[in-house]
Amino acid sequence: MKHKLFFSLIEKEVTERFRGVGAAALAVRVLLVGGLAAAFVWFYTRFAAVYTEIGEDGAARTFELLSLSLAALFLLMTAGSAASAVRSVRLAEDLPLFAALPVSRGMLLAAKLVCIYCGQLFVSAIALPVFAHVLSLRGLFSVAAILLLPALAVACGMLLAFPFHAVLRFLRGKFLLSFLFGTALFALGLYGYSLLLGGVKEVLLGGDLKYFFGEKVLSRLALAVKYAYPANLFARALLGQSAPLPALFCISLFALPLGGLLARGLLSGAFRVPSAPEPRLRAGGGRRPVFFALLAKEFVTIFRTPAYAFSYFSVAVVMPLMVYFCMSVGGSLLERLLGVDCSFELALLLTLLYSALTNVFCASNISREGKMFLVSKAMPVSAGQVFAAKVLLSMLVVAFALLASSAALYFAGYLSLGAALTVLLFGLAFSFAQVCFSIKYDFSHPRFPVGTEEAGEGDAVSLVWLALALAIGGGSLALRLLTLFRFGAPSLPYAGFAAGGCCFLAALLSALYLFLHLRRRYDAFAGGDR
Amino acid sequence: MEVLRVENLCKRYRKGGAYAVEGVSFTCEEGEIVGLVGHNGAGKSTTVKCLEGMLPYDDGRVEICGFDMKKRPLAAKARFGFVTDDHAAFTRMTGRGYLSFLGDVYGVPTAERRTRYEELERVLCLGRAIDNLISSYSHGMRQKVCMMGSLLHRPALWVLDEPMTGLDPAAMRSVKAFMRKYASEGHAILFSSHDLAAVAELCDRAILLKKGRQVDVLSLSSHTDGERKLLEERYFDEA
Repeated sequence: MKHKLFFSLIEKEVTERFRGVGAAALAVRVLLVGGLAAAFVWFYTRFAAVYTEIGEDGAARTFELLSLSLAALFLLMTAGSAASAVRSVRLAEDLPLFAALPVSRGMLLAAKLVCIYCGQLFVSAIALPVFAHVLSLRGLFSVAAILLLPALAVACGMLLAFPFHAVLRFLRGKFLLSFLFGTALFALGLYGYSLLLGGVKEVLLGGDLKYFFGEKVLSRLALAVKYAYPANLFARALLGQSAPLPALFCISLFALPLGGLLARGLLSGAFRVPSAPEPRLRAGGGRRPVFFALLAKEFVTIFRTPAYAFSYFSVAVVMPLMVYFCMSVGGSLLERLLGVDCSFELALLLTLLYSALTNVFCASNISREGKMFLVSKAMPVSAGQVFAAKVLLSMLVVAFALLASSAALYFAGYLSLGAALTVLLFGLAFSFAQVCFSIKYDFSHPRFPVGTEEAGEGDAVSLVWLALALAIGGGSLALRLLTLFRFGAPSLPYAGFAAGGCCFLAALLSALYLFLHLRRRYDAFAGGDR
Repeated sequence: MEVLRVENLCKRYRKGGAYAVEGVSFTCEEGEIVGLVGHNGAGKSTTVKCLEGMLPYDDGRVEICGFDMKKRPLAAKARFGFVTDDHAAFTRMTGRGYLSFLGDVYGVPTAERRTRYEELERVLCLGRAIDNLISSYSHGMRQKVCMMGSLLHRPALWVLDEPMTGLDPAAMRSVKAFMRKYASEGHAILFSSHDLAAVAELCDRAILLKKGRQVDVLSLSSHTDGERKLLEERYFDEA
């Protein structure tokens, strides 16, 4: 009976985790993860080949590389465990219900911990075989490491969960601060991404990577590896250099019960401490025209939901950086590999691609509002005003991002002023098309969130627009390269302008799709419960 | 003077499906309180949502202060205030922000907002919670802020779907007193309810619905025990 209950709890946790994710969306996610994993394997293999050739001590390089890789994996899994612990142990919505059900806290906690562990096990089961394959590792310990490393990461994650939860509590209701914090973290991550892209470029060009890892850098890495516990112990065991199994056994014996105790403390705290009082906010009281009231309502709804603010405004804020980093890597790659300057077409591709990413959030513009969208129909506001406010807010956000991207490309010298303005114009047209289409599609196929859950992001529509961005921008770049190599035409602007034509056509068609018969459709709208 | 006219209202949720509301007709005069009563699934909420413009209806006519809901929707909507059964509100706004938003939507002058807010606060007693996010409100507090928002523009018609649900006894008493006062000032009130005692106590007329059809209209203007008993008998007869 107890076993049945335990498995029911695990089943509930897993179901909750994938609630609202359709088969198509799941397939897309699997494909994306697969693509990313393939790219990582390719890069890691190339990088390992270069790195292990540095200096004369290949074994030491292999040990360093494996230790650092395992350390990075361990940190990633620890952070993931901490986030999962806070989400599913401390802040879970089901806790008040379980408080009244005949389910022991121990069993509830065990079910939640098993789910967290399985999530990290999945990561470790993908990453460790890659390391083992690339660095030609053998031995039974590889299997043990796959099982043990996530367990230690979960234990450490429990320790991190406390400060993580404290930060979340502190940021609760401080919307501007959370936005800035989230954006800064995202930008930091992006900086790391740019470093990775730089590394990819060097690997591709076979350039100066060896010179980067000079004596000074190598000695610093060796020092870092010396203290990178427990990754260096795992690396040693995996490489068969020595057998630090007693040390690993001692660490596990200490860390795993401690992790369990911490998790218990985390759960007890959730049952004991009442939720923090809601902060008091002041709202402006001046009279505004209806349209601006609707616009402000749209903004407030997004900005005061941290997950929405992050996935919309933060992405928009860092979009220029993404365009700039990719342009710096892609531009020099094209120039050095093919000896051609395709800055305009590349800038267009990157701008369209990243603006499509920024606009992903528009795909749930109606569903996000839930039942209030239906209730708004009883207010004396026209369909045109309601939809124009949604389109305008989305366009303001993406226009800011596009303007900053174009300015960055112009000031960095990648584009002339005219080319930067053209890219901006094409980007705006493309974004307008995406915003109008996404809003209308969501209006025609609304999925109102149930209870306190948040609306999905309309994966399918967003993917279509990402594919369109790739087709228009990539097509323009391909056409430019084709004309250059096939016909030797040094400067053929038609490719770029054809792409621009596509953007404007898409904008026109999408605007018609949204605004044609809007009032009739708005009056006939009857809801979108899941 | 007639504030609300509903004529032969018909609504189906699916083409070819059964009518959720069929042939419902009634009016609501100035100074009158009208109750919509019926069992679960009788069509009370559907009727209310149709006349509010939230749901499209298949046939019939809804006029508010002489404005047809289909032909002049904005003019019609500007003349009523509504409270939904689930107290839906923009939960990421504070109570004050929500009232300010509704003030903008209904074009209430800034100076008048404060006076009306103070008047409504005396009845509903939301207190300092007005500056908290609506997402943190209890069921009853949401009900209160929705009521405040619906009355900010002093609508000619006040439409409420199950208004007493979730209110504490003190708030319920205040709301009842306020409804009487509001009606006595020449406004019309339409509300749906399961609470027969409240309907008998407040309403001048009750529209009895059963399976989407209007089965009776009862006069309750004298608020006597006899009228209350008649309402109860008719309600349970239709069960």
